[in-house]
Amino acid sequence: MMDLLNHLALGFQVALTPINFLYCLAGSLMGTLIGVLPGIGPTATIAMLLPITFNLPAVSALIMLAGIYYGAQYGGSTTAILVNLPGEASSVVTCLDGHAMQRQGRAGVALATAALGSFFAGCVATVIIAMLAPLLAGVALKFGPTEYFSMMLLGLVAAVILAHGSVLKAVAMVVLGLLLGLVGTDVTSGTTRFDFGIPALSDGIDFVVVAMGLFGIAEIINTLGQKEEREVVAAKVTGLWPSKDDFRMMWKAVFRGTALGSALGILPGGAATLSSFAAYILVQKLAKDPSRFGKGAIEGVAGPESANNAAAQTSFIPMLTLGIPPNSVMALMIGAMMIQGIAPGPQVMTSRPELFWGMIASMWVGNLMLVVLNLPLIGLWVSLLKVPYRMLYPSILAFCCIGVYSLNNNPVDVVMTAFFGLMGHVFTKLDCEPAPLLLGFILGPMMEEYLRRAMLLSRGDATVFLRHPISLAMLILSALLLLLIIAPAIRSKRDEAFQE
Amino acid sequence: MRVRSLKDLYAGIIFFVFGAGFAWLAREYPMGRLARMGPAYFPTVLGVTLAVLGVLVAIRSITIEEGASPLRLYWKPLLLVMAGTCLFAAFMAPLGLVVSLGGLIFLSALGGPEFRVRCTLGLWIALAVLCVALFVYGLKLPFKVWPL
Repeated sequence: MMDLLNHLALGFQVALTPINFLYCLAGSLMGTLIGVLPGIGPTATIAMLLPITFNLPAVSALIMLAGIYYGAQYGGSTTAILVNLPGEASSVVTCLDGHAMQRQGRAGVALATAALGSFFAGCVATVIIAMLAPLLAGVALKFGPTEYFSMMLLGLVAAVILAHGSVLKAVAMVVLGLLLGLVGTDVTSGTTRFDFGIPALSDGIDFVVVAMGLFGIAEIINTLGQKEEREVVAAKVTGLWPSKDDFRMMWKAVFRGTALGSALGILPGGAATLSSFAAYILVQKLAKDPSRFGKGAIEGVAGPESANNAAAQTSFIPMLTLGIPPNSVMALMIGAMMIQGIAPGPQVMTSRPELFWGMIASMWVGNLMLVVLNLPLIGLWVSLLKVPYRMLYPSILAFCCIGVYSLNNNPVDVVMTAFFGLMGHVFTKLDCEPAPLLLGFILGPMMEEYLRRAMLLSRGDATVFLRHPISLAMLILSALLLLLIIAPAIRSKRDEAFQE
Repeated sequence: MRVRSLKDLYAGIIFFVFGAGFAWLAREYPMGRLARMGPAYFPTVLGVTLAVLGVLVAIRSITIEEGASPLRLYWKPLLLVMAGTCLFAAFMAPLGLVVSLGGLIFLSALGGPEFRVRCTLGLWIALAVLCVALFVYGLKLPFKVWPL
């Protein structure tokens, strides 16, 4: 317990320095902004800012990027409630009851509910991270290459399960990602692989290139092709504070959403989005009068909003402790750490405690900032929605290109980004999810290393993966997950959940 | 035997090409043995796996019960955004940031729903000012700004 307090004290010391405070603020505000704007999400934004993080101190960079992620969850709910437009995928469910409340003149209450529920969830999630992370890191320190390999395999399998669409295609995307990650110099043997004699490729494909292409550029292309017009009706927001009755009705939903979100966030896959959907269903099923949902039930806002914020934060746990990204945003955060020269994994806690605990403390600070700032700034966010997309997306594109170019001043990088944009668009149109590819890309070289080492240590005995108990457990879990998904009953439930 | 899902067929073909391609390219590196894996080992295994998955996905396109929604690539935005990006890449070194931004913005704006010349022009000027201020002066990135 004392340890925990000491750690948190260190964390707050780091998080509350003026510079980190500013970066936290910047991140949270930026996050809210992109959360409000449809068509751009935390993944693309973080990818765009990665090159800038080169020049920043590691802690500040990570604090800012983290702020963007959970800030986006706050922002998404604002537009979902006010204009029935989900700024983020995780806010889609909030549209249902949130906008209904707006139509009943209770927009202010809905917004406050979302903010307060998110804040509560954020606080709880921060505590969970603080308590759980050291435990996990302690366990992971005993891991050898066998365990790491199996764990990464489990991470990839779980990511496949929770991806949309066909599992077969998602697995293929993962394998493709793994292969693309292998382009470049093989550390062990020194051979440059798959580089076609292009010097730019001898270091491998830059992570930022893949991320920006797949998520930034492809997203823009996808949005441009859809000919939807956004109707922004600016609504007047009054009466912000929920009544005692409202509090009474929502606190259970907040608790349940937080619990569910915290649990789901740790699992690989959709994290925030999945949690908000699951929380909505859970809260509806447990409500005394389920028919109120869809017509302005306050629980319908409180539950999902708490869940998505909790999930956004707990998804940092596997990333910070094990070095395994549970979703594409965390994959990018790992990229950011690698840019800073930090090898992600359980040793980060002990070798850079100020980084680890500083980030955790900053999450709490960020949540507090968001609650305080968002409610007054609502008018600003809504007016920003009026910026037409055709002004927005060339700017985003420009930032992407400049960002990629700034990596090496090499035009080849930018051309590769265009190519990945093409790939991203084509794959999305073919119903193949790009996120598993990114995860495979990050984990590819690492998995090869661990596999090599494991085989070296066991002298070519492949059964070593089954003989080590932790590794065996993880492989069994992977197999179970795969079987589960193939079982038709579960598969139709999963499809159902995604269609809603 | 009717192809019910073109999407799956194309996806399968793409996967197969990538998988077989990687495995084939890897043949020039040493394989090694399982205990001492050479640079070709993992890529070959993965490449073959991907190729097999590609075949399975392609087979699925025939055996699937009902096809998914029709395939529609957004050609105009795709080609114009890519062209703009590649133009940016080509122009940056010789012509500098401002010109490259111009090319990028105009081409990508053409790829969008409504192209208005004056709006795009204004956006170019605003962005050029912002980017030069932010990236060249603020972050001191070594970009050429003008063509000279």
